Amino acid sequence: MFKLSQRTNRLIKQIFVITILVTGTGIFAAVVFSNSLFVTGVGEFKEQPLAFSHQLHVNDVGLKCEYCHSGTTHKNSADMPNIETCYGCHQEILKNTEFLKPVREGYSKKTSIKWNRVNQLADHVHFNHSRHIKANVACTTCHGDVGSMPLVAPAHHFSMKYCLDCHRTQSPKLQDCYTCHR
Amino acid sequence: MSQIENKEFSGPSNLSALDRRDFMKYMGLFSSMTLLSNCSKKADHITPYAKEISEFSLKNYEYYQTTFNTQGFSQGISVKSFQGRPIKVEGNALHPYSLGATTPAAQASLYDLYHPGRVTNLKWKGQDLSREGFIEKMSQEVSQWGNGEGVIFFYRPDHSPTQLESIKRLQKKYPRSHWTSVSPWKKETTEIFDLKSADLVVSFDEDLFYGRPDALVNSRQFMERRMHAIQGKDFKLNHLEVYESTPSLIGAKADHTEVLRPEEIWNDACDLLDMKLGKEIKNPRMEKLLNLMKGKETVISIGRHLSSEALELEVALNSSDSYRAVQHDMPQTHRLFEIKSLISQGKIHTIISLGENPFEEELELKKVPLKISLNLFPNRTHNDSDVQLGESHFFESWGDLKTPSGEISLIQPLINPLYKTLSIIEFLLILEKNSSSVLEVLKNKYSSQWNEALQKGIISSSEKLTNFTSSQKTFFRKNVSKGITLKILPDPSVGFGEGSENPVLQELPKNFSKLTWQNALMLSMETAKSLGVQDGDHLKITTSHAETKGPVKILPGIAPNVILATLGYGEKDGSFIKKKRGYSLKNFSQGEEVKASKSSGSTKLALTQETLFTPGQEPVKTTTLPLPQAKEKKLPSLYPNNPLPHQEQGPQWGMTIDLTSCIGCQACVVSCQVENNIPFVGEEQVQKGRILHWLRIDTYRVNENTFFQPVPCMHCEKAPCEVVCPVNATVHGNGGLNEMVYNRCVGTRYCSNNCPYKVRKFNFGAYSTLQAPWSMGFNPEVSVRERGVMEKCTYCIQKIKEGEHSGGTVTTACQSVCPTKAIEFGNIRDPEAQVSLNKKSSRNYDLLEDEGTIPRTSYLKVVRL
Repeated sequence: MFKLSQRTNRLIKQIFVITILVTGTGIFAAVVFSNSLFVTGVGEFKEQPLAFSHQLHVNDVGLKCEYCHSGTTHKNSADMPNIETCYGCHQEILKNTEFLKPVREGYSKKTSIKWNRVNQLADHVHFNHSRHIKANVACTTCHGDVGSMPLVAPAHHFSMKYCLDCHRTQSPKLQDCYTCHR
Repeated sequence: MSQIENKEFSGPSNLSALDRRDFMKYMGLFSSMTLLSNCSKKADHITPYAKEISEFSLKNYEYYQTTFNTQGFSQGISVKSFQGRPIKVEGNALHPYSLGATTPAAQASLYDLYHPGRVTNLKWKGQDLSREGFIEKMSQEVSQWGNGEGVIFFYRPDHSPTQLESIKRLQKKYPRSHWTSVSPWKKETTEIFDLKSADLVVSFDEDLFYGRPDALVNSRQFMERRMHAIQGKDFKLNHLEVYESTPSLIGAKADHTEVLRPEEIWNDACDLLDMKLGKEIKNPRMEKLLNLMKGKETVISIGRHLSSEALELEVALNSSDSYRAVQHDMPQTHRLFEIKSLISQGKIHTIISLGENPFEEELELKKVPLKISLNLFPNRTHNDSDVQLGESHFFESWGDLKTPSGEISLIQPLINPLYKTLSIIEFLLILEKNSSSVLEVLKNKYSSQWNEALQKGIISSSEKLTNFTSSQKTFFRKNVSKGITLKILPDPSVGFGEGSENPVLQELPKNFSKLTWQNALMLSMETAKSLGVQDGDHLKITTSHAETKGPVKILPGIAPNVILATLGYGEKDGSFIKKKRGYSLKNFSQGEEVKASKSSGSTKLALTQETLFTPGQEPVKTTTLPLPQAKEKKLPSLYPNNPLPHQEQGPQWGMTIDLTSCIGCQACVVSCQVENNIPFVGEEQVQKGRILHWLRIDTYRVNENTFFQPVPCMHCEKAPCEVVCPVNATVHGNGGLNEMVYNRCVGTRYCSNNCPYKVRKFNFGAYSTLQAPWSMGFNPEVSVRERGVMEKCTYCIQKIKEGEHSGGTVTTACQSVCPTKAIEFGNIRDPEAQVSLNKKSSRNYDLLEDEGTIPRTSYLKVVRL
């Protein structure tokens, strides 16, 4: 066995400490970064192809969420309203305005408006809207106070932790993996 | 499949050629690219429907009743539709020939609809026509026909009243036209059995439980009565007596099976008739049977392959009310040899083939100027035709079909035609120059019962069929030859060839031989020894006018010197699913004496079970009547307790599989595959043992008896797989389920290694990248698993969750299609549930009980008389 000189020994120690520090900082930075608003997109207002205001429809007019998102009470997907639902009111209300032209055209040509997605759930999660509505979870719990947002932004980052924070408090507890992942 | 396989591991191959500096550069580039790609946000859009569709907005799914065509007859099905796409086939409980169950072929029919190799357009001599363009061109052609001289129709012999009427009108309009059919389906008489009231069922080489239009109802009736008798309800035990030359499902379930050569079976049946008529004949086998028949309501069935007189003999032998043979109305047809000679004389100017494949026969096609074909998939007829038309799948078209006993059920479309295609009835209406649609024709025909027919899937009033009677009293016996005889049957999975483009059916292990993706020449051990061949060796069989070569599969239970060959393979045309698989039986005929000799070369067979024998072991437990009292006996388990204690409330799920009533038809295997998005893997992968079926049917042979054992995940309470997973990807849930979490799985495969039942399957391929149209049939409730993930039976967790939500009962995919109700599933905490009652029975036992895994799936012993 040969002995390392004191200098080499110190050098190895320094390299060791520096490596740990750098890796640790890196991991910490990655965690902070991945939870930052820049990645999660929470609070970031999404531009839409049509100047649609949730505030106007919900707070001012007083429409219920499920009037347009009719799937919420019955099925997995909340569904976006079809153009006939929009036109149902807008054939009378604001019927000559320029910015609602896509609705009128869409109705006559049977085309739909391509909205930009605001809330995104991971593909490996099976989410059922109607089960949450049945369990008296308000729409605003996950989606925030949409009624006061002219343009909508995600209110929460739908991470596994976010779901579990609520699922763990339920009785019976809903923390089987198969509840969401299957 | 080859596309998928090529994609595998196709990364940069020449890494070693890089020097250190370049390597560092590339690494830096790749890692920064990976990081950056994570930061960028994908633009994602939501496009709602333009029109209000009430079915889509109120329910996740909708069910529609329609009809599956099984050998020209109807089998009622109820199809689950998601956003306008059919995604799963279930049985229709109201339909007399489904009774809630389905055959494997009906389950797999979705893979025909979403097959990328379908004929997708209407081509007239190379020119792609629109629908209107085709109708115009066709009616120009038709107006030159005159009295129909020189026109031949090959039509698929479906028992569809509307199609039949249309054909009859055309025959009247063109009296000199020729009509024929080359389909082996063609059946003008059908037998109607009532196996529920029959005390004794005798089968002379005919499988009543599989591969027949009435297979579902036969097996249901027989097993229902047997189970009632075993459970001590108000029924007498029925008896099943089978004389067979090759293994059949009914033979496996028989109380007494005798393996004989086909000629011997035929002669026995002739003897039985003579003995019944009072003649003195020495035949100890039949004397025994005659004694057994005394005072019992008996049903006798005789395989049609045994002789051309089989039906007459069957009618003469059956005297009870439980048997009836009826005649079906079919169009007047010409014989194939007449047509062949007309063609070679040059008297034919147009051939029209409707869903048939006549050009596999030797016809002198050069002498026919116009050949029109209508096909779902490209085959020889399609390729050699001048006018190539795509046929609509039955999920895309209207129509009607008769059951073997004459009830009519409607074919209701689930989806608009995916491609530019026509159905057979649509095409016939175009020939008639009838401008109304098929829907209008059907609505006029069934006007009063229309809504009911659509809802129930069956029209209550049925056509009166005339009974088939025969006065024939003497039958010619056959010489029992010493040579090798050929027995030809439809393939157990792909049938006469109607399923050969279907990847799911191709990969379905064939009954007994457990072979996939091709057919084999099956023979018994002794015959193989005398020929000097082993499994996979090529065998050449020849007659004076035909020759073919195929791999050997040795199978127990085949009569000596009989070679069992199956149809449905050996065609040179078709997509990669069908093309050049197996051997063809062209020009061979049933019961022919053949010369067999070993040929050079051998094939590695894609088997899912190597052997049916387990020497020295008892793979399946049996019991006899009367059943003993149930005993509480629990072996101690050495496995640790679950970290998660079972909850006091909530259902606990469990399953029982009754091995007495399981007939091994494998409908459950296909149902599981379609419900759970289980990919087909291809022949090479099956050879490597990488088949992905979550549920398999193990077949065992012990002392001349055959047993079937469906094996899904056992959902062990003390699961060996859970304790070895390094990443907690498989854990125990509150309902007692052994849960597999795909997004946690890193693919170490320790769990599969530690599973004593070998029910965990590792996903080796890039099947999740399957594109439309295949992917259109996926169940949206179930994840499509990526490569490198372990997967297994979940007890249909998506159905459990749906049941919890809606409060309905939960039926798993395998349970709902079972024709004999062998699979029971439910909450074992509920003492009144059928599954709990089954688990208390003395027949109940766990698979590999001494492992101490305490499985939630248990089996009920086979009752032998």
